Amino acid sequence: MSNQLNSRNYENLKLNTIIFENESHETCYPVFINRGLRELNYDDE
Amino acid sequence: MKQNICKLSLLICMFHICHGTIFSQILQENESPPRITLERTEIRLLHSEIVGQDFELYVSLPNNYSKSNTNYPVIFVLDPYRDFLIMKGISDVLASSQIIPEVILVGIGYGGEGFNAFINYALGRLRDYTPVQDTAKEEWSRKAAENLGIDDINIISGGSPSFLEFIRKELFPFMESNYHINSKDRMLSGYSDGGLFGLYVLFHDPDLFDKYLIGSPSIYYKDGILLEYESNYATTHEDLKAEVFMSSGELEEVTAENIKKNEQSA
Repeated sequence: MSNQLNSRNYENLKLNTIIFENESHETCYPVFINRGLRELNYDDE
Repeated sequence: MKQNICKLSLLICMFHICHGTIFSQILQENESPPRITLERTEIRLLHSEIVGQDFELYVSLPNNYSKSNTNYPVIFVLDPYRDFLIMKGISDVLASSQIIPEVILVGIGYGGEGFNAFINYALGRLRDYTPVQDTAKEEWSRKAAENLGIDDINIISGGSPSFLEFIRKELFPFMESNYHINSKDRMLSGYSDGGLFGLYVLFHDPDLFDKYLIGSPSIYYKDGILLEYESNYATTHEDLKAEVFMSSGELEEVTAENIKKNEQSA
């Protein structure tokens, strides 16, 4: 999905994708939330 | 000296009495201990004519919300039955450290108590987070329910179009008329099938949210229908105005394969 999205070069799309090492579907949620909240552009607001 | 000892003894007695009263609650027969409540969080009920569902919203408010005129960013959280506590804990810590701004959280839940809450959650997410019907997934869910001794429930999938309409036409107006919300800073957070719904929204109505927090989306659903949605969107659009964070776990390929095998064998 991320490859397909990146290949479009959409105007105004800010896309950040990460694969977390050593995390499964059952363990990933807290890491995803912690990182995602910080990454979603709040740092420059 | 003797008088001082008496005063000291009296103080010690008073401490033990107070300590016992405050810190070790003695329960009467048939009395349950008090339950923990979430700080600055309230439950609101919202009936949807569009979906035909009474939604239970968990609304977590920032510190000093009642004394502030600020319009806050809002994060709509899917699967609150499972994920709201984690989202609230992490967002509270990050906000208190000023790493992110203070936000309003809105968990879009299905209500119920105990085991019923689990069933409502499982049925609700299958109906609302899936964009088209998947009979194999419905059958797998039906068998899982039967294994739990439940055989009289209506299991359906493919309700995302209605759920999206509910968010736009019923949920947003409700939230914006009842809370101080910055309507230009809306985020959707979805994980797994919630991520499936998040990407469905992104390719069908991207302006609905400004930010998309997408975790481990169910890309495999209906043989990758999300990829088809994206391709369809790309044929008519060169612009996609959104900030998207998307992630998955390194070990998830195994899980996705197993889920698909389970559904195919159902």
